[in-house]
Amino acid sequence: MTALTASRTTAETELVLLARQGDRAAFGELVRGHLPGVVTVVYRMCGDLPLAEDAAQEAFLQAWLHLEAFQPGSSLRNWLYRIAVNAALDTLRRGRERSSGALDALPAADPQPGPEGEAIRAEQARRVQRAILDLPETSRSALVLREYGGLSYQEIAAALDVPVGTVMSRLNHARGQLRELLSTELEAETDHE
Amino acid sequence: MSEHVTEWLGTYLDGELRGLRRQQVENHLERCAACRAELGRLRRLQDLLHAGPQASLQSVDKFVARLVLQLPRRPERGARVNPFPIRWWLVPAGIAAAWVSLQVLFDLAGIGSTLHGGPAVPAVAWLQLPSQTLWYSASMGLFGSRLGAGSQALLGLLNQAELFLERFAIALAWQAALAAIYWAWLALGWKRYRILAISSGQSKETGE
Repeated sequence: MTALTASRTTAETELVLLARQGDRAAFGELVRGHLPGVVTVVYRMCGDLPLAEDAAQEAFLQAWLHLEAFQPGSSLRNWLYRIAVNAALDTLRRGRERSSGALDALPAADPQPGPEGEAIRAEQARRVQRAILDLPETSRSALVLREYGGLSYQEIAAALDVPVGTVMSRLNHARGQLRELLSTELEAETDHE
Repeated sequence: MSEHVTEWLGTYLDGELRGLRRQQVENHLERCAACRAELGRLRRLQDLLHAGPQASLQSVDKFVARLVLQLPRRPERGARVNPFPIRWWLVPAGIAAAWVSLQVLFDLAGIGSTLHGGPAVPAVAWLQLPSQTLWYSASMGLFGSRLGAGSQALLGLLNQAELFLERFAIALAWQAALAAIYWAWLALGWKRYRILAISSGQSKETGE
């Protein structure tokens, strides 16, 4: 652990202790630090930015209410991601009940895209996100935490409360399914090379 | 040709393979074009997953400000509900004190009886255990005069041993019963505390 990381962790622990005593500003600082990561994770889980924002808000509210359960010294990021994944799945279920599906609400390409390549990339991103949403929840959670959360297998196992071997098999399953779903895009990539 | 290592390629790509297995995969990749191609496909998939715009909120400040405003009061620590209106730990302590008092009373009655050559406290005499077992009384009544001194001593010893075991078992049963009452009391108290704490927490959350 570098000195910078250590001092950051210490500062974070102090903020957690303050937040536990009811200091909202301290909690706000923690949110600010982890918001981009949490939003990335919940967005990839939900595939829809407004839903992701709801899920992120729910995740941080849950974190605030259950701060006692967090063990100072352990990774706050991993703990938040664990809550975020569950919040995203809950939000997605509620969102699906309200509308026909989140896929329609995926971020569309810029209506006036400028260069054609940009529109193609945006469409490709939509397809990728659609494929991720087609994964079963268990595989999707593992994949999102790995690819977009940057968690190690051990951390994913702790976050999802499953053995490391299960993480490996879920990731293999997710990648296998994504390769089938995104075969066209992958072939196009190969042609470009 | 050795078996393919396809199932390990994802883990290898993630940098999560260690030691011998990693070595094995690397050695295999040097020799196997099919597995190298498979690894390439996995890399392309990874690149594809990370291509495109990243999700981000339009205004982090706005999000944080709105969230902080919506935060409910934190569940207070230490504000625990007393599930028992009286000092609940006094109850098992009271039972123990009553037991000790009775024990002392019986012991005093026994001492008095010994000193005066008879039962000093008739009221509690029925509670005292007999000094002979039934089989010992019957044996001595029927065959006592015909038994030798050694046999009588042996029977007396067996009689004392049984009486000792009997009293020991009774004392043990009393203690077990007291322990059971005590733990049952604690369990009931804990259960009640949990119910009150949960309902208290819920009412706080819903009240805000």
